[in-house]
Amino acid sequence: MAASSIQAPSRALLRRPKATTGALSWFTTVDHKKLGILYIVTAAVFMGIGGLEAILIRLQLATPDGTILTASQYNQAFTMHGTTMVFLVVMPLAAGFGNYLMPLQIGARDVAFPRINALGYWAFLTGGLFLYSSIFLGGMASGGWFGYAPLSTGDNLAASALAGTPFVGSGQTFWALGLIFTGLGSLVGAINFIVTIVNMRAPGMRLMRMPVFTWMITVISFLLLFAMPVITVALIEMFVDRQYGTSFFTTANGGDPLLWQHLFWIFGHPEVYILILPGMGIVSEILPTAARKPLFGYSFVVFSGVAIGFMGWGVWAHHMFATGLGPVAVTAFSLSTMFIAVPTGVKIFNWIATLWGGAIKFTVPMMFSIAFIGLFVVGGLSGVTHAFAAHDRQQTDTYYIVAHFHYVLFGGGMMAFIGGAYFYFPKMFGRMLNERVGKLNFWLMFIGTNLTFGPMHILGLEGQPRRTYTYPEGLNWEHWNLVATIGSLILALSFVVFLGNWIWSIGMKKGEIAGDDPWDGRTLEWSISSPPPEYNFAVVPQVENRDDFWHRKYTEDENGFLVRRISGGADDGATKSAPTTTLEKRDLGDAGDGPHDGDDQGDHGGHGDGHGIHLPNPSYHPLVLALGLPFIGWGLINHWGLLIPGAIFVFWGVVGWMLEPASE
Amino acid sequence: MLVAGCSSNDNGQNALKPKGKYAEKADNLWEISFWIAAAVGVLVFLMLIVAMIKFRHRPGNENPKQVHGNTAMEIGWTIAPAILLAILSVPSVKTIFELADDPASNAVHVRVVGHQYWWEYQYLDSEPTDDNVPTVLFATANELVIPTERDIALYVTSIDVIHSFWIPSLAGKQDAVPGREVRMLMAADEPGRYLGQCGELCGLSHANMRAVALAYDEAEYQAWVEGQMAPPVVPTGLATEGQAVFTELGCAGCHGADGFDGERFGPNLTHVASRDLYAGAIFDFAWGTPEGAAQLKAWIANAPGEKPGATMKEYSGALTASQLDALVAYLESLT
Repeated sequence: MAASSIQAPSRALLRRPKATTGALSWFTTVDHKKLGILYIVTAAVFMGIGGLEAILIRLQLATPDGTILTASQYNQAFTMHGTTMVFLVVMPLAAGFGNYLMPLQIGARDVAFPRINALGYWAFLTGGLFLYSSIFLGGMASGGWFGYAPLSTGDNLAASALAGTPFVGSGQTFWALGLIFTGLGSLVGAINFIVTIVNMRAPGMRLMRMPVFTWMITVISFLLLFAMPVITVALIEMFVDRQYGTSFFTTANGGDPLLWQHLFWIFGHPEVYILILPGMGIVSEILPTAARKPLFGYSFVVFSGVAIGFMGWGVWAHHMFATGLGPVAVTAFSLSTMFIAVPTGVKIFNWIATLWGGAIKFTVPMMFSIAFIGLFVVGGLSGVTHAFAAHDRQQTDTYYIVAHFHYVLFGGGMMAFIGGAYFYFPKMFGRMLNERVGKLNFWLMFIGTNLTFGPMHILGLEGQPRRTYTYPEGLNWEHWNLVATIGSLILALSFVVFLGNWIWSIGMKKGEIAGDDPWDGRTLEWSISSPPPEYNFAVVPQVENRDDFWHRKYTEDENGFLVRRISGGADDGATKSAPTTTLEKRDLGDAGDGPHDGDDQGDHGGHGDGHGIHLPNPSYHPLVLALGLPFIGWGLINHWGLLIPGAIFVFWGVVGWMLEPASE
Repeated sequence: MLVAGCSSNDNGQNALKPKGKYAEKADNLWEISFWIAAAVGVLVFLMLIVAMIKFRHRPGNENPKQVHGNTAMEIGWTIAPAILLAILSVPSVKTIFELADDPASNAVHVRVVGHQYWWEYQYLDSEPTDDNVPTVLFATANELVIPTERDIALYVTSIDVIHSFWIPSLAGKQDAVPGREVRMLMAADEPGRYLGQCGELCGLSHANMRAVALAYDEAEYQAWVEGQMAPPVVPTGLATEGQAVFTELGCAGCHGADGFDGERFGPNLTHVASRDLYAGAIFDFAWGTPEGAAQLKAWIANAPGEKPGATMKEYSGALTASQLDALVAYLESLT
C-alpha cells in the first residue's frame, strides 16, 4: 500500500467520501470500530426477527393441537429461526466484537484490509436482506437450518399448486444463495482478521501475550477459512440441483442425499465452535477483571481453544448416528466426540480456578459470565451423553437436542455476548449501562433460559421430536411445553429490558460517563479513551507483559499479592505515562520477537488529527459491490434481466475499488 | 436433566421406559451416562458456588494473591476427565456393536418404507442380502404388527425424502434414506401398543407421520399373518358398487387391493379393514361408527385438506355422496 506516492485525484469511479462523522459516514466507513458497531446493531435487529420467530414457535406449541401457525408457516418459522440465529446473529456478533476489540487488544490502529472488512459487513447485510426478501417473494425456506436433501432439493417444499408464479416455491433457493452471500462476508472477514493478527500486533505483543478473546478470534478465523468453502460448494450444488435439475443429492441419477449431510456437518460442526469460542474469549476477559486475578493457566486456556479448533473437524458424523454409517464409523466418531469434552473441561476448570482466591465483584458482566459457566456445563454434559452413540439414536432429532444446543449457544454463547455487551458498552459509547436494570435483565434472562430450555430435556426423552408443528393430547407433553412457552416470554421481556437500558444510557444520555477504564481493566483497550479515537492509539504501545495495561497499574509484592504502582497507577494517568521500567525491558526482552520492530508505522504515516497518523480513507466501493449480490440472486432465481443491475454494481464496485488508493 | 432422569410419564412413547431388549441396551447406557454427568455437574456447581461465596469481594481483600496457574493441577484436570471418558467409552462401543449384531435365526424380517407422510411395512419371507432378493409376502401400513420375544429385523428405506423410523420404547431411531436400506433391530417383551413417530423433518406433515407397533403373542401373531396372507374378500352388496368406483377412479394406480404386486405410492388396502389407524396413524377408522365413516369420507374427498401436504389428490369434485358411501362400504369389507 504505497498509497502516499499516488497523488492523482479523481481516478476512482465515485468521488472519495470525506465525512467521518454523521449518518453518511456509516455507509462509507472502513473504521473497524464503526464496522464492529454496525455488525452488532445489525445482528441485534436480526435477533429481534429471529426471536419473534422463536416466540411464534413457542406460542404454537404452548398447547396440544395449536392453531397459531399453519404447518407451512411453522416450518418456515423454525427454519428461519435457526438460520437467522446462526448466520445472521451469532456469527455477526462474533465478527462485530472481533472487529471492535481485536485491533484494540493487539495495539493496532486498524485492520490489515479495511475495505475488505467493510465488504464483509455489507455482504452480510445484503445477503441477510436477500434471504429475508423471500418472505415477500413466494415464501421462505422451510427445510430446516440444516436443509437436508432431497427434501430441500426436490419440489416437495413448494406450494406446487402455485408453481409457475414468479418466485413461488423458491424459498430454499433464496436460502442457498443468501447463505453463499453472507458466507462470502464471513470468508473475507476471516482472512482480514488472520492477516491483521499475524502482521499488525504492537511491538512486544507476542502471540502468547495476546488476550484470550483475540486468541479465540484467531482460532475461529482459521475455522471459517476452511469451513466456509465447504458449505459454499455444498450450497452451490444445492442451488444447481434445485434450479437446473442436476442430481448431486438425489438418488435419481446416482447422487446421494447423505453427501449433503457430510458436507453440511463437516462445515456445521466447526461452525458450532465458531459460534461458542468468541463467547469463551469474552468470558476469559471478564472473569480475571472482576476477580482481580490473572486468568488461571493462560496457556492451557489458549491451547485448549486451539485443540477444540482442531478436534472440531473430526466429530461431524455424530450428527448422523441414525443414518446407518455402520458400527466402525459410529465408534470412531463416538470416541472423538467424547474426547472433545476434555479441552472443553479444561477451560471450565481453569475459569473456576481463576475465581478461586480472587476478590469477585458481581458486576453485571460478571453475573452473565458466571451464568455462562454454569449453563455451558449443563449443555456440555448433555453433549457428552450424545456421544453414547447407541443412546443418541433415542436423543437425536428430539427436544433433548434442542435443549442441549440452546444451553450451549443461548445459555453459553448468547449469555457471553450479552455480558460482553455490558462490559464493552462503556468503551464503545462512553457511557455506562444502568447496573440495577442490568441485574434485572440478568435475572430475567437466567430464569427465562432455564424455564424455556430446561423442560425440553424431559420432553425430548419422553419422545417429543423436533420440527413438529403440532402434537396431540394424551402424551403428557403439554405441561412442560407450557412452561417452556412461559419461559420464552420471560426471555423476550429480558431483551426488552436490555434494549431499554441501551436507550436509557445513550439514547436519553442518562448513562454515567464511563471514563477510560471503568472496570479496572487488564488489556490495552482500557488504556485509551472511551470511545476510542479513530486512530485508536496516539502512540503505538510498547507491550511488556500479558495483560499489559494491568501491569502498568499494578505489580506484585514478594508474596504474590497485588500492589498498586505508585506512579502511573491512577486511571487518568495510566494512558499516557509509561511505567518506569519500560525502557530497560524494551532493551532486554523484545529484540525481534514481535512482528514489528518498533517503528514500522509507515503505513499510517502522513496526516491526521495532529498526531501524524495516516488512516485509510472511507470508500463507497465495498457497499456498491455488495449491492450487486441481491440482484444476482433474484436474477438467478427468476429472470436473467435482473442479473444486469447485479453485474453493473459488482463491476462498478470492483473497478472503482481497483482505481482508488486505500488511503491518500 | 435431573428430572429427566426419573421420568414417570408412561405415555407409550417414552425413551426412558424401554419395553424390549434393544431399547434396554440403549437405556443402560443412558443410566450410566446420566448419573456420571449429573455427578460431574453437581461437583462443578459446588466448586463454582463455593468460589462465589468464599471469594466474593469484601473490604480489605481487593488485592488478592496473583496466582497465574499450576501446571500439575492443570495436567491433572486434563487427564482425569480423559481417563473417565476412556472408561465410559467401553460400554458405549460394546453397545454399538451389539446393536449391529445379526438377529436371531427366528427373526421376523420387515422392510419399512417411509412415504410422505406414513410408513409402509413389507413383510419378507427371508433376510435381504447381496445374494438374496426376498419375496414380499404382504404389505401393510401405519401399524407395525410384531410378535413378542422375537427379534424384529427392520430394513429401513424411503421412496421420497429422508424419514426416521422410531418407536422409542422398542429401539432407537433409524433414518430412512432414499437409495439405501439399513437394518435396525427391535424387540418387545410384552404384548402391547407402542407409539412412535417420524424422527426426521420430511415436509409439511412431519408432525402427522406417526407410527404404532402392536406386539402380539406368538399365536395371535400367527393368526394375524394368516389373515394378511389370505386373498382379498370378494365384496357383496354396496361394497360391490364401491369396488366399481375404486376401479373407475383409478385408485388402484396408487393402492394395491389384491395382495402385494409391487411397491406403490399409497398404502396397500388388501386387508385395510384389519387396521385401526390411517393417514400416518393420526385418524382412527372406527369401523362401523358414523364418526369413523364421516372422517374417512372427508379424507377420501380431500386428503390435503385433512392433513397438510398429504400426497393423495383431492377427489371432492369427482365423487358424489353415494359414491363415497359405496367406497367406504368397500373398504370396510376388506377385512
